[in-house]
Amino acid sequence: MVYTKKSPALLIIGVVMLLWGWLNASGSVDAVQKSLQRSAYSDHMKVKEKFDAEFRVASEIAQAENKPAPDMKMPKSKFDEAKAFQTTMCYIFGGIASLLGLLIMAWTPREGNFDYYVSIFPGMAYMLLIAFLVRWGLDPVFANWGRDAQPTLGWNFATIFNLNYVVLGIVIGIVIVNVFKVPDWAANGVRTARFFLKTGVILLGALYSATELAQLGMISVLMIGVFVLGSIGVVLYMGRRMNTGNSMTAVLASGVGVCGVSAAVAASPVVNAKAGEIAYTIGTILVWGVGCMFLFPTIGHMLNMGPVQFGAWAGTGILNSAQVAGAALAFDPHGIETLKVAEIFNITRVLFLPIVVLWLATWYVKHEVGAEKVDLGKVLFAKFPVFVLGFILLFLLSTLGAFTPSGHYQGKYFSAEQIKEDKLLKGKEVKAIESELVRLKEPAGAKQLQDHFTEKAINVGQRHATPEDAYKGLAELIANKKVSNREQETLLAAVGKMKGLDAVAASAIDKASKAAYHSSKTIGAFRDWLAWLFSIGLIGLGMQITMAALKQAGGTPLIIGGVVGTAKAVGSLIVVLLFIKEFI
Amino acid sequence: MRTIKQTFIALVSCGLLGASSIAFAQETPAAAPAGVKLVEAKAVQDLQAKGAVLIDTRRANEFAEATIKGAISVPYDPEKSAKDVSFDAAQDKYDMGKIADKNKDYVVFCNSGTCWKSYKAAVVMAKAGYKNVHWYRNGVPDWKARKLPME
Repeated sequence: MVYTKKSPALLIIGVVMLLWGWLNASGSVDAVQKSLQRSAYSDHMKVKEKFDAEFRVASEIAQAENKPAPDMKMPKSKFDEAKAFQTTMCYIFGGIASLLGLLIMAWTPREGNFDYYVSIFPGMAYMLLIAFLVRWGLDPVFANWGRDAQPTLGWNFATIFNLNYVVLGIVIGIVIVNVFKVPDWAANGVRTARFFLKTGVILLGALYSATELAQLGMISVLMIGVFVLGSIGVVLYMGRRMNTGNSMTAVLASGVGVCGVSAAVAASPVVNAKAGEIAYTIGTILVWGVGCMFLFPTIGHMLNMGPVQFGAWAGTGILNSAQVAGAALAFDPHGIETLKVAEIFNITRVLFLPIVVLWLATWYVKHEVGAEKVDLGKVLFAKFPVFVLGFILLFLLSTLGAFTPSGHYQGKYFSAEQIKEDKLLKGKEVKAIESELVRLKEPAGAKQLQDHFTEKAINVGQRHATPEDAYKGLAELIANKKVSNREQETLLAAVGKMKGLDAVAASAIDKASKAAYHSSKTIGAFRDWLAWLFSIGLIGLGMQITMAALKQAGGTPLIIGGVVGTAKAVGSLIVVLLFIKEFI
Repeated sequence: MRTIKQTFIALVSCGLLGASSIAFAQETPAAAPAGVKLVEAKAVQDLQAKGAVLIDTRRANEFAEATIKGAISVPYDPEKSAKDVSFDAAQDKYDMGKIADKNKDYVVFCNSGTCWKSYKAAVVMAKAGYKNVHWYRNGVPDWKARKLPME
């Protein structure tokens, strides 16, 4: 059979990509890019203003000395870099697509390997083109809308509903397959979507490090472990009982147990999940997560929960990461501790992902062949998905500190030593803190600090923070011109948010605490590639979700997700109320 | 039926991109507002030597980071009004408590070009009856480029 379809499609896609690259290079689409990439553009304006001023002054001096106008070049801003990146991507992939497109037009395909390999390119280029559209167009559009609507709505709908490239990619895939149908020439290439997902999952391992777990108390790690692994166990059991199919059950287990959408995506290739099953899981998780986000704060207030209690509950009980922060903020919009605790619990939960992936891989292999009563070790060795080993390997390397200091989460880490010279506090900033310290040491100031700590429930380890802690931290900050450790940074950040603090001192503290967090360039690059691989993979996956596939998956996942979600919410509520009081 | 569906989707996606293109901040006018004098770096130095008060209207953190030597911080913050000459000062906050003497010389500045804070502060001050308000439109970037003293 000949796979390659004679069609000008690939050539057209290539030309469209080249055209977009050229439009970016020539600056003709700057107006569109400006509205899409707002933060990069505001950086551009800063760079431009600085350059304009330097150029104007240099020209004035040159004119006064009767010399020709100076030859100066504006330095590249983030906006320029972003556009240059789009141009490079478009030129490389557009070029390849155009060449292969010409080949397809000119060549008469004959049966064989070469024909098969050529046949997958049109579909891959098709997915990539849509990925460009999603990541460079839809993703920023929705992010901007979410931010614009926040003052009116009171919450950012784009963040809460996870409307980033992950969900948007799947949705656009679904729209294409159900409205337009996947074109014939693309069908073969779209089937490679799973390969992109698998590669993405391997890279995902690099984002997490087990060392981060050591930062947390044993009780919280234990509690989260029990809930994560427990809910997975329950889903797996229920799935077997309700005959939901192995892959469906496993994906749902991962999504419900760990951190929602991303965990479901990570687990899907591990257990050969069908596209419709992933869609169902994500749908279930999002609906449930958003419901919890609105319900949790109300229940929390009704039960008169403390900030640490609520943070722990939200961080354990809410299915999807995006809604954890939303619930914490809804419970206590001005609090610090609630959000902090919720985030800590959420991060810990995500760090269980490697264990879960290993478990599900083993479980799936075992149950797919379970009936035959064969030697389990042999089957595992033969059928175990190899890319999972890649994921575990990168996770181990990341934990050992191969890419960045090992105590990191998604590439972000704390280091007082690495604070750059120009990020140290300057004279005026130190002076402002000094005079605030004098004021805060007076009785009125001490009372203000104490009230602030009480109101926001700020803790230092296993006790409440006191004004003395703040004095010590501020004095060290003045002496070192930077923060020295993580506990101190957390406390000072809380002091910096106190009402009535001098604006310069507050911004200086904020600057000092931000300066101590660094993001790893290597992990940033991993993240970026992962995002591309996931968006291509998910678009392709979305294109396999027809209405018929959804009907086939049926309503059972919704039932299981609902039952386990409720059980987890109630169970963690009871545990939190029993064992967690004011500290974690 | 199918074509209707397809056209609808195409229209929606065009709308998505179109709706996101909103108006962007324009530059401040090149001329000073009524009752305010436009000044350049040289004049700012002369005024400062004669005892004029230099007012940094940027946010407190920008002032703390680096500003013109001898300037004081009176932030025009939060700035919620439109970046336009017809802005509504009632939407913003500008606390003139630190600069009560309306007969003194004042120089207001922020960043150049698209920063409207100093322009708006100058307008507010002129309307409030300050007699000698100077607007250093080119502001901090210009001062920095001339390598004049900062702190």
